[in-house]
Amino acid sequence: MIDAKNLTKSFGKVDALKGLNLHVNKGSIHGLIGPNGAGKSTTIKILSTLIRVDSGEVMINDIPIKRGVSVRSLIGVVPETPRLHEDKSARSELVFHSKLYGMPKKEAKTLIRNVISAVQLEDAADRLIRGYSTGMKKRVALALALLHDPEILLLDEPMSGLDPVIRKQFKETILDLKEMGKTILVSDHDLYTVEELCDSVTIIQDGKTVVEDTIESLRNKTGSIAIEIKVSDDSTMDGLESKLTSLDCVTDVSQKRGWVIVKVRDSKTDIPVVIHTASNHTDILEARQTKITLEDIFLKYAGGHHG
Amino acid sequence: MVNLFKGVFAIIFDELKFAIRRKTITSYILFSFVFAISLYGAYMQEYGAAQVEMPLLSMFPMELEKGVAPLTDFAIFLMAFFVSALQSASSGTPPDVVLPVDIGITLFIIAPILIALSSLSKLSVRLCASSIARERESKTLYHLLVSPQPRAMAYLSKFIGAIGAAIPMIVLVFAGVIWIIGASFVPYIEVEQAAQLKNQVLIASIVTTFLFASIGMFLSTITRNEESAVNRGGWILKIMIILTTVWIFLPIFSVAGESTASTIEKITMISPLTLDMIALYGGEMFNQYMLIQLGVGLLFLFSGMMIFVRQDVEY
Repeated sequence: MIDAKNLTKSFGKVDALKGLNLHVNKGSIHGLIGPNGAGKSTTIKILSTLIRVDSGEVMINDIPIKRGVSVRSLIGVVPETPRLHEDKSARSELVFHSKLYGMPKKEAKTLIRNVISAVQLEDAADRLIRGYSTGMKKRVALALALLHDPEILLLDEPMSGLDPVIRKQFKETILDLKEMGKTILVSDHDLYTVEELCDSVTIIQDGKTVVEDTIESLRNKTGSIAIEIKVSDDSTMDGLESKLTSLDCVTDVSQKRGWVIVKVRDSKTDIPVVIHTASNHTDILEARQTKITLEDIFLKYAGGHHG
Repeated sequence: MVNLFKGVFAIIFDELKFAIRRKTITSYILFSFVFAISLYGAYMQEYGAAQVEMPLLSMFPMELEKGVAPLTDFAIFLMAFFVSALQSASSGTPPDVVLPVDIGITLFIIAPILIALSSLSKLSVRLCASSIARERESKTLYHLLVSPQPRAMAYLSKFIGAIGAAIPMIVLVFAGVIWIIGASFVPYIEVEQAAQLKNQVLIASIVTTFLFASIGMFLSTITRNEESAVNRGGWILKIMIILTTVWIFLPIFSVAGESTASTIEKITMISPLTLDMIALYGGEMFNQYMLIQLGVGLLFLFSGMMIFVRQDVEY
């Protein structure tokens, strides 16, 4: 479990975090999303004990982060761009790490073999990292983070720079880790990935928490279903928008490229009401139903500053 | 505790492995060559208990008051050599001079030993300055810092690993010292004096290496990239060598007046290498000067460690 309260952090005159709150439940995958410069990486680095907070409180599995050594035994970190010792092989990096964690030699050998297999690096494990692709380096970083079987994983943009095949494998590995009871914090720009992986999210902006909840609950607040309506006469769109806004079942109405987008909570009961109201107001050319995405939720809360 | 020690040894060996690379081996070879030549130069002189008469010094136009001992001995050596060389040249025979053993020891201290101490300082300051700055620059430091190893322990382990690369050079210096003292000076000096000189050279080598290594670690902690850290270390060492050279030729500054020379002498004593020269030459101040260097070394080492422990690290 991760619990961070009122975190502040400045780098010179730049305030990176201005009272950030974050709560990640044990055994869940939590997404940390926000525009560029919102403080996502700073938060991950604080939780990794790489940088110190100016004020605020962080507890990792009820241990204060100030007790660095105890906290670091519990966490595994995959940075956005993993920098590895290029003159070593993945296996020798893992051997070095096993020693840092004080693992007995025999046990380490088995664990190294297992993590290499888990990240599918068997063929390249003894080659110099210098010749690895970005995806392979990311897999080495994940192997290093998993080697000591940490309870908590901190993944900073784990999918960036990966090709679709490796992304899929990575997602599966992360979901497997959740099944194993790991607590995982994912910071990622790719909201589609976060939506697929995470149970809950924290949206941050300008170093502050904007909203924190499960994705399901945020959907309910935003509206879980969207109906897109195309009308024959564009001049009736503004009137239609205000008409639909007045309906109780509608959570949000907007216009986008000649379509009126209406968000509702329940497809069975709310869609007929919306279509009925719209057809009474104007001639409908086309209507289609879409699901509210995390991007919609994000744009609602982060005000369209997604970088 | 088991965790801690395994990790500590891993960091030490990893750093040592990195330190002993092609560039360092080139330094070893170059140092061995220069040190061997300077030792051989000292070995080739003929020493005796006889004293050279002081009137020879009257040929110098300036007073030889400050830093009297090294320069006086050095002047005596030059005078004796040239007088002998001139005499020999005029008679058509090779120059032949028997130097008093004290002069031999002085020359031994200000030539091979100063070369050795400067080389050890250069190697240790360079390797230690590179250790943390290198990993910070390549952003690989996070591996170490997200592991359960305490930061202070990681810092000290890297220091031990880097300084470990200087051990072969210290061993070489000590072996050379044992050889030259045994081969050239022992017949003319007391056994105790010979043993004391050997020990003092060994201690001075270790302490000076430690001091410059600590300065290197400090620079490594406060500098963002490897090249700047190593360059800064190099500049500090150059300044120290210049100060020590000024100290050796201090009597020349007597011409500018007593107080100027005295001020210059105090400034030159900022250099640990000057303190080494004085300590090895005189002997009485040896313990005091070694303790000063050790204290300053510890100050740099722990200041660097405190900064490192509290430092923000990027990945």
